Parts: sequence; C-alpha cells; structure tokens
Amino acid sequence: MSIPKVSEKNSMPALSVKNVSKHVALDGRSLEILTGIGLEIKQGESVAIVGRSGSGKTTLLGLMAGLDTTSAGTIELMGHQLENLTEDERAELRAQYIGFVFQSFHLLPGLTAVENVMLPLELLKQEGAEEKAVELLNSLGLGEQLSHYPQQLSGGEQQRVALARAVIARPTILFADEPTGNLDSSTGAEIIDLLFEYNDRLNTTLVLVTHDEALANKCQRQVLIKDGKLVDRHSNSSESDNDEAVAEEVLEGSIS
Amino acid sequence: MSLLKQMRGSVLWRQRHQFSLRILFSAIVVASLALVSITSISAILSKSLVGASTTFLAGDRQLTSPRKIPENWLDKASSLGLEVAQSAEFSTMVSRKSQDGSATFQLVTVKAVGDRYPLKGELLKSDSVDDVAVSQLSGPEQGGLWMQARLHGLLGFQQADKITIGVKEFSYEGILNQEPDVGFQFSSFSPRLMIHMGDLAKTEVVQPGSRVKWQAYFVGSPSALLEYEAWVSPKLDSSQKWLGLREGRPAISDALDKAERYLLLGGSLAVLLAALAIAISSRQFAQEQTNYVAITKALGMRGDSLLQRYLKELVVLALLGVGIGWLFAAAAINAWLFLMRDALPSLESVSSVMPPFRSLSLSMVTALVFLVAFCLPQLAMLRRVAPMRVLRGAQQLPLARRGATLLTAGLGSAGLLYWYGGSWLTVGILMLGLLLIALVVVALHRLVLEVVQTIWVPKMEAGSALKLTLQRVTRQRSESLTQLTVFTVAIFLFAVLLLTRTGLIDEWKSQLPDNAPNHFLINISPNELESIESLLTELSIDSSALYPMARGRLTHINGMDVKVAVTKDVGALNRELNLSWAAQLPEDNVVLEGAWWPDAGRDAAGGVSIESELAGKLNVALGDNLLFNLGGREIAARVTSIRSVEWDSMRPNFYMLFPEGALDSFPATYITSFFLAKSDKDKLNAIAEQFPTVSVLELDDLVMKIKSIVAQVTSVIELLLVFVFISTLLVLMALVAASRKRRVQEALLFRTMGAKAALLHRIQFYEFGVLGLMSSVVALAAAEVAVYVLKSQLFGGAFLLNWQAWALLPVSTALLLALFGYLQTRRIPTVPPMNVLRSNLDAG
Repeated sequence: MSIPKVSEKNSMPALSVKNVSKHVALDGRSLEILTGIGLEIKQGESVAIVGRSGSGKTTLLGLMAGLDTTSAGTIELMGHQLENLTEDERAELRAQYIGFVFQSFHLLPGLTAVENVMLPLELLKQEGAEEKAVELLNSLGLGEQLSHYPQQLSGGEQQRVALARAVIARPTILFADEPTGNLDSSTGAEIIDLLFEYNDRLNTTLVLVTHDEALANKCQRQVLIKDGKLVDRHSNSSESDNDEAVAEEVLEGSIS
Repeated sequence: MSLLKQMRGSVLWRQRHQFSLRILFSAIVVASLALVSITSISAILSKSLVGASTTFLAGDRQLTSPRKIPENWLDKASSLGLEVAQSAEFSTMVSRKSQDGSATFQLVTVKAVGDRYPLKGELLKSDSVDDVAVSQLSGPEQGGLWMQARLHGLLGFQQADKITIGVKEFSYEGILNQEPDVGFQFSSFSPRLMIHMGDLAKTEVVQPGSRVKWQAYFVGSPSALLEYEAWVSPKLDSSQKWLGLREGRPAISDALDKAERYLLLGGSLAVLLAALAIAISSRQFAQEQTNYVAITKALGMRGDSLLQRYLKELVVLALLGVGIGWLFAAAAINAWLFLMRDALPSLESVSSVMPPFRSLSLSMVTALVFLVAFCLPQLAMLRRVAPMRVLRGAQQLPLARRGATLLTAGLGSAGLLYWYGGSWLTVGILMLGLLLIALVVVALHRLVLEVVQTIWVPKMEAGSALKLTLQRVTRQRSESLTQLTVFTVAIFLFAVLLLTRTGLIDEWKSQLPDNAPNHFLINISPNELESIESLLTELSIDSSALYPMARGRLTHINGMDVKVAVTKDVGALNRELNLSWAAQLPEDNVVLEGAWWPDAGRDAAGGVSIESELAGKLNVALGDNLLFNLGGREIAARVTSIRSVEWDSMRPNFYMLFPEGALDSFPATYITSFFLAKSDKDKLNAIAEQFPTVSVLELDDLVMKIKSIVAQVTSVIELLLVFVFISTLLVLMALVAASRKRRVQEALLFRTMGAKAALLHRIQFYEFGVLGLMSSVVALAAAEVAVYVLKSQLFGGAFLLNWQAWALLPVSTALLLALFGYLQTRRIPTVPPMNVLRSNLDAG
C-alpha cells in the first residue's frame, strides 16, 4: 500500500453532533426528519449509521458532511462549527477534511478511471495528480484499467475507482453512503475490506450509512436511527441488549 | 373526455416535465414558426415586389415591336382572359401656334396610348405646372394632349395656344408628370407628350417606314400569362421583344433575383438549423427513455408495440407543435406587416395576412420528416433495451449507429431542401458543404484539442478555473467534439447568411447610394459650359463631370455597311448614338480588352473604345475599323479597347468613347448628372430660366422606386436573419440542455469535493467561452469559403474577406455562448449538494 499509515492521534473529536433537528416544509406543513440527535465520533473511529429506509440516516450523513444545514442544534467537524459557515466555507472544509463514497459510484462518464481519481487533487491545486492517481489505482489492482471509461468497468471496479477518488486527497473523515448497495456480496466484501484498510492504516475516520449487516458489524460502533430519532448506540466491541433491535431494523431496512 | 384520458395516459404526456421533451417540442414550434413566417413573408414580399416592378412595365408583361402588333396576337391574349393595352411611341416635330400667329417648333417624343393604358403603375397628371399631380386611370381623351412641364418652356407655351402634331391640332389638357414605363433610356432625351391612340392615324405622322415603337401591355393570371408567352414567343422575330420583370429593367430584376435566391438560401438554412435542434433533443429524449422502456418491457410489453406507441405519440406531438408554431407565425407576420406598413407603402395592397396553406403543409412535412429521420434510429435502439436493466440499475442507452443516423438524416434533409427550394444545385452545395465542414471541423478541432492538451494545459497553474475547464474539454473529447461540431455548424450557417447579406446590401447600396444622381442636364452647348458650372456651384449642386456628346450613326464596320455586316437587329444601329470623348476612364468603367489611351500608344490618335455588350452584338473585336457619320461628316476609328459599363449607376455612360480632341471639329453638346433632394426641386427653375435650351431629365421618382424595392428586400433579409439567429440559439440551447444533466452531476460532485460556487460558475463560463471561440473561428473560416462558392455560383459579385466579421464574430460568439451557457447552468452550483446522496442529479 502506497499511502503511509498515520500514527499520531488527536484528542479532538472528528464530529460532534449536538441536539440536531432537521425539518422540511412540505405542503405547508413542517415534516420532521431528524429530532434531537446527539452523537460524537472520535478521530479514527468507524461508525455505521443504520436504520430503515426513510428513517433519516442519509439526512444525518449529509448534515455531518456539511452538504445540508440543520434546522436546530450544532454540528462540529474537526472543531469547526458548521452552522456558522457559509456554503462556500463548508465546501472548503470538505475539500480539506472529507472524502465521499456513494452508493451509485458517481464517476464522471466522460473521464477515464485515472482522470476521475485525479479530480480532487486538481481541485486542491496539487501538482503531480496524475502520478499519484496512477500509483493509487495500481495499488488497487486497476493498473490495466487506467484509461478505461466508467461504462467499460464492472460495478466493483467502478466502486474501487470511486474509493480511490475518495481517499486520494487523504481525507480525515471518509463518508460512505451505502457503499456496497449496488454490488454483489463478494465484490461488496472487497470494498468493505478496502474501506477498513484505509480506516486502519491512515487512521481515517469512517462514517457510513448501510443496510449491510456484515458491513455494519465491522464498524466499531453502530448508530440506529428510528423515525428521525437516535434510539440507541451500540458498540460492536461489547454485547448489548439492543443487538436484536438493531438486527431487526437493519434487516427490515434492507428489504424495504 | 376520452381524448383527454388518452392524452393523460400517453407516454409523452407523463414525461412532459422532461427537459429534453420540452426542448424537442420547442424546436418543432420554432421550426414551424420560422418556416411559416419566412415562406409567408417572402411570398408577400415577392408579390408586392413583383407588383412594384410590374408598374415599371405598365403591365405584368410587355411586348415591343418596331411594327404594329398583329390584331390576332392581341385577340389571342384577350381570349386567354388577359387584359390588353397598347401604345405607340415615335419622334416628331411639334409646332405651337400662338394666337398672334407666331409659331415655335420642337423635336419631341410622342406616346399615343389606348384607353386601357396603363394596366399597372402610376400615370400622373396635373392641370398646370403649379398644381399637384394626380394619379390617372387612363391617358388623354381623343383630341387632347398632355405634355411634360419642360416643354412649356421650350415651346414658350401659353394656355390658349394650339399644338399641332403632323396635320392634327390638339388641345392642351395638362402636364404629364410621370409615365410608369419610362425607363433609363437616355437615347430619348427629347421632351415627351402623350395623346390618345385614336388620334394617331389622324396626325398622319406614322407612315410606312416610320420608326415607331409599338408596345402591347398584358395583365392576367400567371398561368394565362405563361400560356400566352408560350404561344407568342415562337412568333417573335429578333426585333420584337417579350418583356417580363427580368428583361427590361436590369437594376430591379437583379435585386429581385438575388433577393429570391437569398430567401431560398435563408429558408433552407433555417430548416437545417431546426433539424439540428430536433436531432439533438430527440436523441437526448430517446436516451432518457431507457428506464421507462426497460420497466415496461419487464412488465411484459413488446418492443415493437412500444416503438409504435412512441412513433404515434411523437407524430401527434409534431402536429401539435406545428400548429402552435403556425399560430405564432400568423401573429409574427401580422406584427411585421404592421411595423412595415409605413416604411413599405406597396404592402398596403396586401390584404391577406393568414399564412398560406403551403407553408403549413411545408412545416408539417418538415417536422415529421425530421422527427422520423433523426428519432427513428435512436428510438429503434430502445427495442434492444433488455428488461434486465431494471435489475442492473440505470445505464446509458447505446447510441444508434452513426451511419444509420447520418443516412436517414441526410436523405431526409436533402429531400426536404429540394422540395423546399427546388434547386438541386443549392441542395448539393449545402449538403456537400455541410458534410465537408463537418469532416474538416472534426479534424480541426481534434487537432486543436490535442495541441491544447499536450502543450498548453501542462504549463498552466494547477487548479485554476481555466485549467480545469480545458482539462475537462480536452479529456471529455468525444463530447467536446460533438458540441464543437454542432456549434460550428450552427454558427457556420448563421455566418453564411450574415456574410452574404452584408455583401448583397452593400452591393445594392453602392449601386444606388443616397446621393445617386437623379437629375440629368442635357443639351448644354459648349459656350454655356462655364456659366452653367458656376450656376450649379452657386446653387450648391454637386454635379458629376460634364461629358461632351456628339450625335452620330455607326455606318461601316471594316469597310462593310453595318446593314450587311450585322444581320441581327441591334437597336443601336437604328438610331444616332451618343458619342463622347474622355481623357480619363470613367469611374465605373472597366477595360476588358485592349488598353486605355495613354497605354494604347500610337493607336490612340485614331482609336475608339466600345462598350462590351454592344461589341458582342456587333461582333466587333479589337483592331476593327469603324466608320461613323456625324451630321453628314464622317470619322473613322480603330477599336483600341472594349469596356464594361455600369448602366445602373445613374451616371452618364456612353457606347463609344474617343480620345480627347478627336471630335473637336464636330458640333457637340454636354451632359451632366447630379443629385437633387425633393425639397430642392425649385433650383431646377433657376436652371430652366437661365438656360432655356438646356433640358432637364428628372429621374428622382424612378430612383425612389428602386430604392424602395431595395429597402423592402433589405428589411426581409434582416428579418430572415433574426429567425435564423433564433434558430441558432435554439440549437445551442438544445445542446446545452442535452449536457445539462452531466453538468449538474459534475457540479454536485465538485461541490462534495469542496469546490466553491464561484469556481463552478467560472468553469461553466469558460467552457462555453472556449467552445464558442473555437467553433466560431472555424465556422467563420468555413463560411468565407462557402460564401465564395455561393457568390461564384448564385449571386455573382467579387469575393472580399470580411474583416469586420472576423473582428467581431468570434469574440461576440464566445461571449454570447459563455453568457448563454452560464445562464442555462447558473443554478447548478446552488443545487443542494445533498442531492448527490439521493442520486437525484436533476437540477432543482
């Protein structure tokens, strides 16, 4: 692996969510999506947000990444309070700290694999983007597909390219939204392994939304969202009474 | 109710919010609007122009003959339902007898007209010199006579005086202000008067052998005119002429001809642009159907019936779009007529303002052909969509084979263009030109992109908006090439029209500048030269040079009598020619063969320069010896040069020019021309008073008429340009819209990666700017080549590189496109980045 492991630890939490609510206006009524969410994620931690479809998981992920703003409450990302920032300042913060992996990959169809991976570095005005991207893709076993366009790649290959794009700028926090949702189980497993490899080697904080029980179980912590509320926290390292509830939710969510 | 239900149940209605479907529909509406408006307005104009021009002939057609036109020819015309009028024109002496018995004589041109003259155009008469001229339905009564105002002065005419022509005495009835069918014949300088045809025989002036110009005028339906033309043409001998619009009046027919071709070209280009817009949006629309098709197929619908359903609904959509476009066109035409009515009086006669049926059927067929030609290959691909796609998730529909699309699109366009314009040459030039330009454009842009990518981009600062822009333009090469090609073709079509328009209008304007001479002074004697020049200066009249003129007849060519040497009937041989001399070659003359005096060396002394058309008719070549007879004295000359002459320039021009001094021993008069505004007309009186023997030829009405025609043609050309501009914009819009989804997707991703809104705005702006600049430079270069070909094949006229266009078009196109693309995509950076998580990549 070409990316060196970062060993230093920082005591500041990567994400601190305090009493966050989100509601949207719908047909003149206010629709509550999230209510009173409180959550703290340490640097280097891996957290799975689970829950049924429509429970508000993705909304929470978006709020934490600064893609949307809260209706009430505060979110701090690496010590920066998101509510106090403008859209552009939040974008800058994302550029500095955040990487994304999406369920449907979102590779740009007109760009080759290597060009897709170079994008974040180019936006950050970094030199040598191409060399770094080639090196990273080689390390992911995509050396033969560097100049392939997304439509010429399999689902697993596309998600690996997307993963490379997410980590090339060495983000502090990696958000993943159903990263295995569009993949078969064995390809999904490869991606999961890679995600945790980065989490482990680079001390990248990993926050993911998933229906995938196996994936959720690999995280250090699971957070269950039910009807817009955080009903429980569950640490995979110790047994909990709510294991069953979480499993049930996850299962329901995956078939809904 | 069931119709409404059916509509609601249709595939297209359910997708009415799809952007590509809206663009497709708008493209059909605009195509129909442009087609219907252009065909209707050009029909209205050409009708009104023909109307205006027929007034110069005093009928729809004219037949001229040196002999009386046989009665059975006229009867045949009447039997075909044509209205017929006649006139006879000849030169003779008139005498004025005053009550005290004194008499004066004057050489005049008499026109005897029948009851129905004029069938077209305005015959103006006033009761006295100071009265207002009033339009007349027919000429003088029998026994009556109208004469030009200047004849008053020449004859010293008093109200009670009697005028005698031949043996018949006439009573004066008024001033002849304007005849519709007096052209630019400078040969007839003598003052004119008009009598009734019934009095012609009574004058006993016209005898066997007399030189008389007999004219018959015809008015009727185009088909009857055509039938009569077919019947009478074989009976004409070389001295008789059948005159349509194009014959007698080169200045007007030329303008009409070019305008007609221009409208044809413009109409064809509008069709092509509409086709482009339809092509782009239909392709886009078909692609967006993939999921719907996959789902319906998964639910058990057969591919063929699905295709049929799409086709059926698209046809309905096309018809609806055409109908709406037609309504808009009707409104546009009426607005145009309303705006133009004051400027173009001849439009007043246009009562029907509903677009003709042909234009409706034209745009219906056009929309259907294009929809089928451009949509079908792509729609047919939908049959191949596997229902499995439902399980695999959305993927791009494979594009139809380029060959298939090009073939159906090419055949469809060529067929339509032919149907529309009826000239395979134009269709050929356009299609071949388009194919060529597409090939060249792709090759050229590919090269430029390669150069930019390998040489320029690496040197740029990392992460700058321009570098990011160029990176995406060069990397997404196939998309960029498609966009560049379409932009280039659209701008090319617009540029062709713009360049030809500029050329045409400039040419017309240079032929008839604002201060084109509209008055001639003739018959100036040598001893009056100085005083007339000083009078003109005193009156602040800026006249052209004074040209000397001696009247003489060409009698022998190379020693052979012209009547033997020239078997053809050449008008110039039947009358005295205006012979002149000049040291300098007149401004608008061009020496085609031989050399002008100083270069003609020793030959100059006994040389003569002859006008090229006359030389052709007389079969005279360089070095031939000509013999002229001037009032009984002879002069021999050798042809040393052959010149072309701009007869429409309204400046004095001559068939024969001698070296300075060659005609000094012959009696000569002088001629000059100048511009005089209507408000300065009274200055003519001063000239007439001081120089009673000098004749004034007033051509201002004629010049005004020609100018009004040019103004009409110009106005419709400008309007055409507006339509083509709108169509071009629509094409650009369709293209921008087609890439909108991709842009939103890209912008959202950039946002999640931390790009600021300003950067995204700049990237959009630069991208369209770069595309605009590249495509307009290539388009303009191609347009210059195309205009060169068009000019040499269709319009004539010299080719000039248009520096103004080069200075303005690329930059303004780049800016316009950048702004346009920016406006189209300006909301993209404000789309909530959350959408990227929801896989909702449509702009909100």
